[in-house]
Amino acid sequence: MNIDWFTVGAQIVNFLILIALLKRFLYQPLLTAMDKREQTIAARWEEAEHTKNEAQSLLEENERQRKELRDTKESSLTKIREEAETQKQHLLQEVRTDIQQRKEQWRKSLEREQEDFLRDLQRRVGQETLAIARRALQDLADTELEQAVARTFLQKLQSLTAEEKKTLSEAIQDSDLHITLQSSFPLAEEQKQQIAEELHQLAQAQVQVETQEDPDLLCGILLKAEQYQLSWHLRQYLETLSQRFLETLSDSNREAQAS
Amino acid sequence: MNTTPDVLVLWQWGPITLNATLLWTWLVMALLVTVAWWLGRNLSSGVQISRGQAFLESLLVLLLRQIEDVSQQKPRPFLPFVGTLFLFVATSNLLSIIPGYIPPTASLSTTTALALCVFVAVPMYGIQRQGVAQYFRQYLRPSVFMLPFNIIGEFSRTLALAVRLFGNVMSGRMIIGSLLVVVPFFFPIIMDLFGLLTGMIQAYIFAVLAMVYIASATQAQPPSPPSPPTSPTT
Repeated sequence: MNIDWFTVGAQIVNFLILIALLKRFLYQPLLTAMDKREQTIAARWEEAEHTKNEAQSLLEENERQRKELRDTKESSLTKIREEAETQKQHLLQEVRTDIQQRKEQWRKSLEREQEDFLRDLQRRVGQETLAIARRALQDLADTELEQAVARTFLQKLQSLTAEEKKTLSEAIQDSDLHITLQSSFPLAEEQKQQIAEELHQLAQAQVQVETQEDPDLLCGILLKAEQYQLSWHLRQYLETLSQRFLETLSDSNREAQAS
Repeated sequence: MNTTPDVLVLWQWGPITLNATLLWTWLVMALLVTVAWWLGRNLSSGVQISRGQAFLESLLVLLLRQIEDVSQQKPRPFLPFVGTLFLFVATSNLLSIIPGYIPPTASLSTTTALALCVFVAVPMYGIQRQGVAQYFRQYLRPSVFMLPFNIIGEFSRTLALAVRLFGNVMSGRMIIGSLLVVVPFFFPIIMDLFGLLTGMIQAYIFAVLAMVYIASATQAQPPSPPSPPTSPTT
């Protein structure tokens, strides 16, 4: 139960040495390691938090861009559809106009061809008729066709009604007793004389007759006094014929359009 | 039988004596330092750590928590002193399971040395924390008449620290020795187990009391000073 003071001193020294040794080998390195780990964990935590925030913001950004893209896509599609519709209408309109124009052109050209054909036909028929008539008349007798024509015209002049005669007489008066006699052939002097005499009887005055040759009449005689005209010629018949042709063609055109 | 290892003198030269107390103390020290070095030789600051490091760290955290609980202060500055007290006393007592080993704490010289260390450490921590004047002023509290009692209390608690530890360890050894004479074989083993338990408890009490004394010295105005067990007689 007694105290050995040397041992006490030695134990104090021992204890202090133990404190120093444990501090060196146990407490300090361990505490440092733990602190470091805590710092590391804190840093990682912070980094993770940071990364998470970044990811969140990226996600939001992404979402926003997607939405924007969707909106843009929709509006673009709508715009494109509208443009396509406009374009379609425009093209349709152009095609319609084009078709209308072509139709019009076709119709005009058809009409032109028709007219040309009729004119040609008229001319040919006239010539052929004339030739036929001429040959027929020549074959029939020695009388020339012209004489027959002149005679026919003279008969027509003589067989005018009283009313017509009066009108012709007034026209002769109005033209200062100067009339024009157109014929498709040169009139024989005798014939011209007969006509002048007949007109003289009608107008009760000396009538001056001027003769002109007009092959367009085809075959016949035309009397002109101011506005008045009296005629007998084949062109008249041909015109009537061509009129008939025209009417027939128009009718058939109408039928074709209606169908 | 020897109640104290002091009397087992191995070598003497004048006043310098190498007795069993010092020998066993060095062995305990060597063991502690070796284990600390061995387990902590590859310390890692990462999250993957070795089992040894995990053991050391949990021990350290346990100590820090205890110190913090008792002192209500940041535990780091007190860890080397209080932690070493606990580890040394606990190891000394636990090794008594080895036959032939006499714990150094069974020597009054050792416990006195430890108590003297606490006796010196208390004012050192107090002055370091509060300053000289502030520290010594607390001896005049609650009134100047209390000064002699405070001083006596300072000494008596140091004495109590030393004798409590010595008495417990020594008595444990005495009981086992006595029982060996009366009922040999099995019963002393049970008492030995009790000895291990009291040894751990004594280590805990010694360290906690030291911490309580230091804490009361380092708290300038303790709102509710942790009431130290005035006479634990375990």
